[in-house]
Amino acid sequence: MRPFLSVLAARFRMQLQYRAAAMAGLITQVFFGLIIIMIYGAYYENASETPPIAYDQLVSFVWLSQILFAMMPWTGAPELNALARSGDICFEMLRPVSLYWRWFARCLAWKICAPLMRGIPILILASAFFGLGPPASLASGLLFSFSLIGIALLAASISVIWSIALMWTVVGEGIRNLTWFVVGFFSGMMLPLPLMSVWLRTVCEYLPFRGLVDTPYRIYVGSILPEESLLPILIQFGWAFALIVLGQTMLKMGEHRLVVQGG
Amino acid sequence: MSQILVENLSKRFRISERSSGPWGSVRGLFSRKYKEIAAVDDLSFSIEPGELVGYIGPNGAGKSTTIKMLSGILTPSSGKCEILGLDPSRQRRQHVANIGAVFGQRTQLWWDLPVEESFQLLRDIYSIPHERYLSNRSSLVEILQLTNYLSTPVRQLSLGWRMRCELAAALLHEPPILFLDEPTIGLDAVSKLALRDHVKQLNRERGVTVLLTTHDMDDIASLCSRIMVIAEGKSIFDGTIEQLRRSVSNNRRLTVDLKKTIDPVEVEGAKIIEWLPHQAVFEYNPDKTSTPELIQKIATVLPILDLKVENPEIEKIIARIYREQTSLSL
Repeated sequence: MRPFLSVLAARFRMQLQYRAAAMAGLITQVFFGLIIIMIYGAYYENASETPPIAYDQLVSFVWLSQILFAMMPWTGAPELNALARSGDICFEMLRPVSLYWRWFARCLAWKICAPLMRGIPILILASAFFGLGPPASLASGLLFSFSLIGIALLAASISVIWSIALMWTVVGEGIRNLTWFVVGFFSGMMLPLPLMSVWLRTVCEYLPFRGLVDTPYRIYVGSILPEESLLPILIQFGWAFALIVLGQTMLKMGEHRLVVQGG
Repeated sequence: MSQILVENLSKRFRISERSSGPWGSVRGLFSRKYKEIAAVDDLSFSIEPGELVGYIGPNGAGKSTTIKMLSGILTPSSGKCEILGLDPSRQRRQHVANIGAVFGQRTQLWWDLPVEESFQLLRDIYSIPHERYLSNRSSLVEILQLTNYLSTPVRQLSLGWRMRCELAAALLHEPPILFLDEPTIGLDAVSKLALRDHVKQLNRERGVTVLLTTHDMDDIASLCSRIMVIAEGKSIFDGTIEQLRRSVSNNRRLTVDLKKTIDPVEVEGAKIIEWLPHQAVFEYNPDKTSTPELIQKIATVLPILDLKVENPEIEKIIARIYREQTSLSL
């Protein structure tokens, strides 16, 4: 455990150095949050029937998505992507402890640190001026905090997989364009699941990405009630576990390929 | 017992061949032809504890492939490789704790973190006990003179200092074996000399076995007691520098600076290589004509200003071996 905690801490400290990026991200996120809320405002004013999620809940939902934006596994960690693509990953194999867990620890640290740096200021701004409400109830708040751990595990396991996938491609652009869409759409960040058509929503509910946005955010705003949240949280953690296993398998296959065929 | 034992080690790669032209790449989508090449071909050697071995060969000769197999990150196609009783690729986790490696064009330090923090990370990854870590760290910091650089982020270090930090990083866990793959590449003269001194000192004081690959023949000449030459995957020489020199040519050069310009004069037992207005260069075989004898002869016929006897440059010898090897196989 110690080596991985140490990697986690190091990656965390590394992320702390990117203050300018965090600052830029903060401004972008506030800007986008405001625009998205305006669009939904127009939609809600002209809606012919009552939308399945209340306007106030939606506003909080949007702010949560901006606060936790950097936590989303949009891509693999940049330094790991470079290693996987160039084949230099083989030098990472010169260590006596598991490569997968070292990478997982890196991604986990990245996914925790980045949103802390730009998320907390947005949290303060949004709750003071832009309509981010508190959790729907004490129970909702507690369950949300718990599912935040789920987001972190899920996000880390997905971003490791994105990096590992680059071991099979020459150019990573294709994968990256795909991952942005897949993560943004199926998690419910682009369009909250309750606003989707029924069949699409059903698909999304069973995909791993829901646990990144839909489950935790809707628990927070009370669109999923505390008594209904056990199953979604179970799905969230279940997927995190399954994707960790998948990532380990993929890495083993990739390592095997490298070891047998050479970079 | 040998520390590193390699017997009939081979590594063959399959390379896909693509026909040329636009149709070639289309055809490549459906059927691919493969060509097998041997990057390392039937290689055998053994290295004893504390040896400092230079491993050289032209680009693409199979040096890095060998090092990768010895490190356990590449599985041999056939043959045996045993290091401290372990099979590197099958027992990789155990094996890598026994080796340290520096790859000249890569870094194992964390780019954005101070050097010290990368060291601490390695301490935890190798589970080095705290006291051992402290004593190793302080002795490496002293030998490599790193005190002033420990708190600098790696990205701000010059290449020379970074390489010294890399060397320290590779040795923190006290590996008995060190692989250096082109450690002096891109270094300026001062850093190169410093790095060589440090490697020598580490080898002497800690008894670390070193396997060094490089294209810099001065590295070899100043560091290695033994050289292995590989070309096209095959070992073509294994011995001392002196033996290597003899195997190619024993000839020496005598350069004579002349007081005044004269016409070329033949001297018995020596061959004229170059005749300039104020300088003449002879080549001779010291086993046939001894150096004092030759100088005496020359002194009687030429107006000598100054004399210089040289061995052929090691660089030239190696180039000649490489050329002979490749022309043989072509």
